[in-house]
Amino acid sequence: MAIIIDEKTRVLVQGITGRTGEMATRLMVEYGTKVIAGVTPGRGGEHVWGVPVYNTVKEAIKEHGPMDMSATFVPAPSVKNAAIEALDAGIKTLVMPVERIPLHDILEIIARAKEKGARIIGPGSLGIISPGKALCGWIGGAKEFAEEAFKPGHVGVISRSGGQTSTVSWFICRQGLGISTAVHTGTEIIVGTTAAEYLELFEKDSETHAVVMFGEIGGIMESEVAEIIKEGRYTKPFIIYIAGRSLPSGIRFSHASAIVQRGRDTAESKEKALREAGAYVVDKPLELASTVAKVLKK
Amino acid sequence: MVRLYEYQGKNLLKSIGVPVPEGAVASTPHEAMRIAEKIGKPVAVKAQVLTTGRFKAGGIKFANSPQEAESIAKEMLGKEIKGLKVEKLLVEERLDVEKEFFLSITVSDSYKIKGPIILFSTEGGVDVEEVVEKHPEKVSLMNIDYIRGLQFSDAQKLVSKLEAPHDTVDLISNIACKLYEVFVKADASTAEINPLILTKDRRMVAGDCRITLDDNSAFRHPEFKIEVPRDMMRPPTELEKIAWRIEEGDYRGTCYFIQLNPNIDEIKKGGYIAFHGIGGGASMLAADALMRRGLKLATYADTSGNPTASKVYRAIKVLLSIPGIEGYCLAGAVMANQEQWYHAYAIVKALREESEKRPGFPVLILIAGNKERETHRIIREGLKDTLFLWELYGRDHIYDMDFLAERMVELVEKYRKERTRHAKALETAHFETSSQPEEYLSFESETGKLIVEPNKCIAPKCGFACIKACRWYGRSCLKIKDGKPALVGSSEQLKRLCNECLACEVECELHGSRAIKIELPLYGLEEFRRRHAIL
Repeated sequence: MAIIIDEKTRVLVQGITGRTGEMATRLMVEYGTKVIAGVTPGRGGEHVWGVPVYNTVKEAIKEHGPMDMSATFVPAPSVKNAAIEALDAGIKTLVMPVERIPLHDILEIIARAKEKGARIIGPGSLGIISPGKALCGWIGGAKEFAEEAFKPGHVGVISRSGGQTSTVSWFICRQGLGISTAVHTGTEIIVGTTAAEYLELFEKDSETHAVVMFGEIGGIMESEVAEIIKEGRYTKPFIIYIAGRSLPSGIRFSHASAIVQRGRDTAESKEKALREAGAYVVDKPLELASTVAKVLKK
Repeated sequence: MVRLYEYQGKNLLKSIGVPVPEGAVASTPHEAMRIAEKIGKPVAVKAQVLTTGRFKAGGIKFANSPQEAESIAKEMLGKEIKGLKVEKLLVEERLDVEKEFFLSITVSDSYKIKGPIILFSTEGGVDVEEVVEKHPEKVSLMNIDYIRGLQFSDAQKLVSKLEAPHDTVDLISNIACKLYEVFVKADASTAEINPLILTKDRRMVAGDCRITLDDNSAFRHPEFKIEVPRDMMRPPTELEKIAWRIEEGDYRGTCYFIQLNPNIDEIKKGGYIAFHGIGGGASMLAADALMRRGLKLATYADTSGNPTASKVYRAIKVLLSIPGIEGYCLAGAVMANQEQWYHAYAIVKALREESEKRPGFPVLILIAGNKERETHRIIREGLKDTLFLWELYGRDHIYDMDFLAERMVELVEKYRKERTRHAKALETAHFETSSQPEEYLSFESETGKLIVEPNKCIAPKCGFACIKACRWYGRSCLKIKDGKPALVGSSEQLKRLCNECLACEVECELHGSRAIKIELPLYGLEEFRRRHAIL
């Protein structure tokens, strides 16, 4: 089990010859992800860490058969075209690690994905990992570190911050627990898959016994989590920390998503809604791991 | 999020056929008078500042004659409204209002929507959030399918859900569609007309206009002349403009930089540190803790998303150029996924360049995650002979934010006690200035230039430190030829190959020579430092 990705997932890398694309390919291949092929226009015929490169997504699929997932390591202004190419070729999950994609490109990608029944992870997402099985994106950075930060187990992790995905997971593993799947939602104002949707997947995953989330000020993602818990669409234990409590409002805190503007997006309002829904809201990020350990031992 | 001024927004509306009041922009009282004269009717004089509630704050006034417009302009120009200086006025015909509406297009991050939404209200002219809260029945809302766009029939449905006067439905629907067109064309995140005015003579006119542009799309819109596409209610500072150049056009990781206090004279009074986080989450955690402990942050910077060492180096150089700061804190409160040795080389190069000029200056570094051990080794060796008051922490302290804040406070206090002594020593100090090398090899990297001076090279005594470093951290741009370092391939190949890891320069220096220099220009920074007497 685990969600979205496992050892059987067939992955394509778009922008495989670029600086980050190449680094991520090495990581994925060494970690054991089934990386079938890569794409960089004009570089067909080359190999990157043993993975064959093609000029187009279509060519790669023609040669190797359908792909389940694509990681788009393409400079931000070109991501839209790469994403549409992948969606048109029938790929149903796109992991989009690149930051600074124009908002209207994101809107179009998400709308097109919806038409095709595809899922977008990100934009601005480090990626997703089901420890011991596979990862997609550049989550973990390098094989040794990915293995150190993410051990297999039964805790799902959702984070709105890339680095905190691995940090929270590392702390959970130090408690003697492990991770079923960990995912970074992405850095932009609008992301293709929100925390509420990941939670519904974790609900159905028998391997996941609880979910831990690193939340942030800004946006309504955490408030919607409270809603779906209230509606009974997620029933397992949920432990969350919300960062950015005492930061001045109205400033974008490096993540586009972290802008405090309205009533529903402050730390206080989110925490209140979550507590009322029955979630465990902790005051310090360190308590995420200890709390999930306590909850699961009950 | 870059906000456009009212007049800019209205120009956009006008360009696609949305009626706006007759008027123009004035920068002097005389201009204001001339515009009013031309309009030949009573006018409204509106301060162009990026804030709401201008009327209550005295930023909108009415004039019955051109002379009156002139005297209002005289009074308003140069004045501050909600802390923002008024530099431009919009002088336009005063409308006879029959009724006010509201139209707004924005994006919703809700999992149910994830796309544009349009809001219409028959209660215009007031804060719409208030209306949503108090009179939800007077607001109608619709999701827009991005691929289909907003069709006229959709807009009619949206408008006729509420009790708008019968003859206005089509007028409003038409403007709604045009507003959506502006929203898409301008790459906006919000486009709003509030109030949308029905005049006594049954015209439908945009009374005000607020458009917020998407930061990430600024490169597609040179017409807006955006200097720094960051979410700020004020004009960018000089350093913010310099820092933006680090980021603009270089998509290798991100470098975010804003001044939490834009006023350098305030910072010079003391108590401020330069704050630099790694990753959004970590930065928030650390900034939060430092502020709670009473430290004042001059900046909020963040380098993440696997940036090059050159990008991080430039960020640190800008941070250390803030006049009057009493410390530098790099807070990587994160088990980072990116290989942190790039941050390490950036830190070492930047700090070694600053060391002699900053004896006793507090430097607190928390860095952990991928390649942590090597990262710490590089930083420790790089800083051990510097004059900073520096401390380095790793994974044992990642979520130990109160500890970090405590250390920072202590270092700053220590620095203050010693500062007079250091200042005296600096008065008589002489610094070497680098001279033009006579014989050298060089190539241009993506954002800089690498220079090797073989006659300064001490190889093989150094064990070919530069070549080993380039092989390990870089992409093998250097090779050994006749016992000395040489370049691999043509300048085009090298430009593509070099990942600007800075390891060769730093390792050469740490192994006893200075045969390699990587120049990473920062346009305008040197001049800024000279002006502020930063050595």
